[in-house]
Amino acid sequence: MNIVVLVKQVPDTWAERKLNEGDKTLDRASVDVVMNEIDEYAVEEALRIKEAQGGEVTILTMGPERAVETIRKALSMGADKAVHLSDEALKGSDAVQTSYALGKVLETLEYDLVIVGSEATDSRMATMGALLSERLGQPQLTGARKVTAEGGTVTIERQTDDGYAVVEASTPAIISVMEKINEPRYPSFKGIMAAKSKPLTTLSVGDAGVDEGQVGLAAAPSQVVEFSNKPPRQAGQIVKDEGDGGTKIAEYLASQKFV
Amino acid sequence: MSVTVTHRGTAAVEPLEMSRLAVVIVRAGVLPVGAAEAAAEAGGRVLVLGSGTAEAAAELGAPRAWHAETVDAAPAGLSQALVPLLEQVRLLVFPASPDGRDFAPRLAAALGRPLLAYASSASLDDEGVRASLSRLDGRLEIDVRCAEPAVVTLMPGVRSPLPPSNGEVFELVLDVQPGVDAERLAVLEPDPATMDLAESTRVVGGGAGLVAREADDTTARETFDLLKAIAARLGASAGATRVITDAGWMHHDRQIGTTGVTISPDLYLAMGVAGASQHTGGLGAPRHVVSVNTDPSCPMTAMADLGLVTDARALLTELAERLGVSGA
Ligand SMILES: Cc1cc2nc3c(=O)[nH]c(=O)nc-3n(C[C@H](O)[C@H](O)[C@H](O)COP(=O)(O)OP(=O)(O)OC[C@H]3O[C@@H](n4cnc5c(N)ncnc54)[C@H](O)[C@@H]3O)c2cc1C
Ligand SMILES: Cc1cc2nc3c(=O)[nH]c(=O)nc-3n(C[C@H](O)[C@H](O)[C@H](O)COP(=O)(O)OP(=O)(O)OC[C@H]3O[C@@H](n4cnc5c(N)ncnc54)[C@H](O)[C@@H]3O)c2cc1C
Repeated sequence: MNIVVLVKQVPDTWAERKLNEGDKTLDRASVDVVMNEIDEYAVEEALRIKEAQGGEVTILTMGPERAVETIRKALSMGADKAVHLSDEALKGSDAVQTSYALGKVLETLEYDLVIVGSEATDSRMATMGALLSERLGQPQLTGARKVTAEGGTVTIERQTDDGYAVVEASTPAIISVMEKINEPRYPSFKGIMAAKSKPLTTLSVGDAGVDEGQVGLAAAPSQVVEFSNKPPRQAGQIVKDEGDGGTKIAEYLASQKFV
Repeated sequence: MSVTVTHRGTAAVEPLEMSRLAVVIVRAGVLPVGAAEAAAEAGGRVLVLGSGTAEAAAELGAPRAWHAETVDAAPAGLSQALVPLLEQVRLLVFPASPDGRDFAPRLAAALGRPLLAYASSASLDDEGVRASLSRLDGRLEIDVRCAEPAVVTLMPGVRSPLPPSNGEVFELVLDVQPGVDAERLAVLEPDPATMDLAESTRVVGGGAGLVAREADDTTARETFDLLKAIAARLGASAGATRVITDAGWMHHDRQIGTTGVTISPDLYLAMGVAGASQHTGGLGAPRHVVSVNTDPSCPMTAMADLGLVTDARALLTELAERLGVSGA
């Protein structure tokens, strides 16, 4: 079974994340970056399927030059090869544009499954699985906490807010995985060494057949007109318990008319 | 595609030509959280899709509603069937419910429109769509403009619904062609006692701080049973962090966070919860937050209206005594 795993590089969630004053895009240059954490689970799931039934795991990343570090990590976990779509023209693409560009590359690859993470920690959009399904005309299996792939069929247990559903589709199909699906491995020393010589193809928009006029900030249909950084909530009151903690909580609940 | 419109209201039958429309997906007639708010943000016009749509549309009480039974319609077929119906509508608003979040991107891609996700407001004027998006766990507020039509998902808890009006309801019969789709084989029922969490207006959340390092499994379980009892007494639902659900001390369906349940309560009382971004990412827009934690600088306390710096275990026992909850 051949699998493509979509991996995104994002600012570390512990770092202070902010937008650039100039073009109002996310500052990805001056912060620590990591592999989007749920994508590690996506890579792990692909590796497990490959180890059980053979085939190849390809990593696909769209992102700046620096995203190569993230690609190397996925390769050192055990993926076989990688495609890096990297071009200044792609900067500032929105989600629908990104799905167009990633879809273009996917059209040139041979796969039975595409696995994406459920959501990226920078945008928290959780849309890529559905967008790619619509674009590629392939079944959408989003929110998987369990994947079983056999022959031409793939079955997932899909997590929803009100329970689980067992959903099945024929391959090729698009899967997004949740973090409960597995425990990602750490790259071994051997893996890290091996990653250095694994095939990595870098594509420009031209190479990928992506129409430059349809991607990037200039072509994005929506513009950020303004943004403000603000504390998520009004700074509240922080009090020490002086033996009357219960009373303080009771008083607060009463003052807000909860009790 | 053929659209049969059965006239149920008092006005003349018309194609969907309004400028703003909410789209709400229901299951067995149950409206998702935020449905009425999405309808209000779209000026009181709403299209209800799914199963039990007639009763759901009636319950919404929007000034103008359309509904179509699309029970067995899978997303690929449905998005294609909706394109000709919704092409003219410039602002489509989905509640950011699980089904809304899942389907909105497909429709955006099918219509070739941008998707503005997790908006706290969305409006339409001469210059097009305008929306406010809340990002990075609420630390960033982005104002976006879009000259073209757009698809928006609206966060729950950001506005009040319209007062119910006995509006007109029209039935649509959509001709959905089978698309390349996944098939639902079975539905595994969740623990019925946990169904309430997402909808609850009050939630008590427990984290690792409630469990002493040396505590055994039985003690930990008792702690969370007590948490549930206290929550019940406060008219609240109980939730937990992943550390707790992974340990099996509370059911997985009670995990609050980006990979668990998303809530949006009036009150969130966090006991021994650090406030990792994956956890707070599932809190929606809570109106009041109380955090009980020994660490005054932990993120949960930093976002709280009241942060109590104390041992959460002792406080749990004290609350149990005050509220007359047994098991302490
Ligand atoms: C703060 C902020 C707010 C934003 N708001 C919006 C908005 O409202 N509307 C909008 O259209 N765009 C928005 N964007 C832009 C959007 O994040 C990017 O266009 C992004 O590439 C779209 O994917 P995602 O990360 O949001 O996808 P998600 O659906 O959250 O990501 C899911 C998975 O898709 C895969 N994936 C996503 N991107 C890539 C990639 N570049 N390479 C490889 N795999 C990938 C990964 O497997 C990932 O786990 C926003 C960006 C930021 C930083
Ligand atoms: C991909 C991914 C997805 C995730 N999804 C989720 C998710 O959906 N939901 C989720 O919750 N987590 C999720 N997590 C885990 C998340 O990152 C945190 O690890 C988790 O939320 C921490 O739980 P906690 O606050 O209970 O524990 P800890 O981080 O261990 O924090 C314990 C807190 O208790 C305090 N404390 C200690 N002793 C006491 C005491 N006696 N009295 C009072 N306070 C005390 C400490 O100061 C600390 O603040 C995810 C992680 C990953 C990698």
